[in-house]
Amino acid sequence: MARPWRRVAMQQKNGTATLNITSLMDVMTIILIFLLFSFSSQDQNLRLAKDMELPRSSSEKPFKWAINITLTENELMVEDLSVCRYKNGRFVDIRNDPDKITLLYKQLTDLKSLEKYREVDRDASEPVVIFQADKKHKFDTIYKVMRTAAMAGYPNFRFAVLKN
Amino acid sequence: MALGDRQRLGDGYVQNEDVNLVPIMNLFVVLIPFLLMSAAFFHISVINASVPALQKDKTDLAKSDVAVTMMVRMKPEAFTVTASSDTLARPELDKLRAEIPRDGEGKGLQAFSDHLLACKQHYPKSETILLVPDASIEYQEMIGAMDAGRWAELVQEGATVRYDMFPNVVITGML
Repeated sequence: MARPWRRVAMQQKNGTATLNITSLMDVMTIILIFLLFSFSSQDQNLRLAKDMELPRSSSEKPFKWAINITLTENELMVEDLSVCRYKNGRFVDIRNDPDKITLLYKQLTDLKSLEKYREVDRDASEPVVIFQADKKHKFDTIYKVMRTAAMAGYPNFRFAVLKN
Repeated sequence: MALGDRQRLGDGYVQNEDVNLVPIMNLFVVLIPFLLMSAAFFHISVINASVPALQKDKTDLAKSDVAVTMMVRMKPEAFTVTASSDTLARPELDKLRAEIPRDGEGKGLQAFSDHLLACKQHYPKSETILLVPDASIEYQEMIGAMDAGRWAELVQEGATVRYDMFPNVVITGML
């Protein structure tokens, strides 16, 4: 804001100075508008694991909450609860079952028996899981998780992806 | 509002007033950290998919006489596209068969999408694609193939529109 020269001269004469916060206000206003926009269009509060990078996709379907299965580089989780470790391309499971991951199966069947999915996704006609996995995982790893979930009664998935 | 400086001008007083921005600044300083904490700097969407499951009165095969189910075998070197239907004859289905190499820029995704678009335009009621990736296929590649099969961009009357092809994706592995 341009300051009248008389006023500046008067302040210099009186020995007082005021802080010009107009430019700061401009910056703050721009930041506030940007943040308000990103706040209104943001997805649900989804916590991404640190060691995981979601694949990118052109999908525009909005994120909708459901039971969450997360496969990071070295851990398999259900709803932020660690189920088993993933090490050297294999799940560290209690039993070496080629068809399913026993610990995940048990966790999901427990959830199913509690019918917790009704609390998080009441509108769904069939139980659905949100599946977050690192983009570098091989299909055999991905499919083992999917197959286990299907066996536990969750055959429908929503793959969480980053919008292009 | 702070009182401005008074200056004598002619026969009256003109009051120069500055708006006191400090309360607004206070509000901004509170709002900005709050919004920063809750802001989303990445946008997440989802892709619906399913695995084959035995269900009463449900089948992944197309029931309509003009619909087909596309089956895509995704190997590191090529896409093998076949079609199945419980009503169409084998010679008709063989016309939809294709082997699309996964090389060059985009790893054959454009040719793959173009072929599926041709199939969709031939049998518009088809909506299901069965994707069978090899064990060595990476998750990102699988998502890319799903994207290429779900929709295509068409130019209609000078405008680019998104044309839905096969929105129902079923993922399965080789037995």
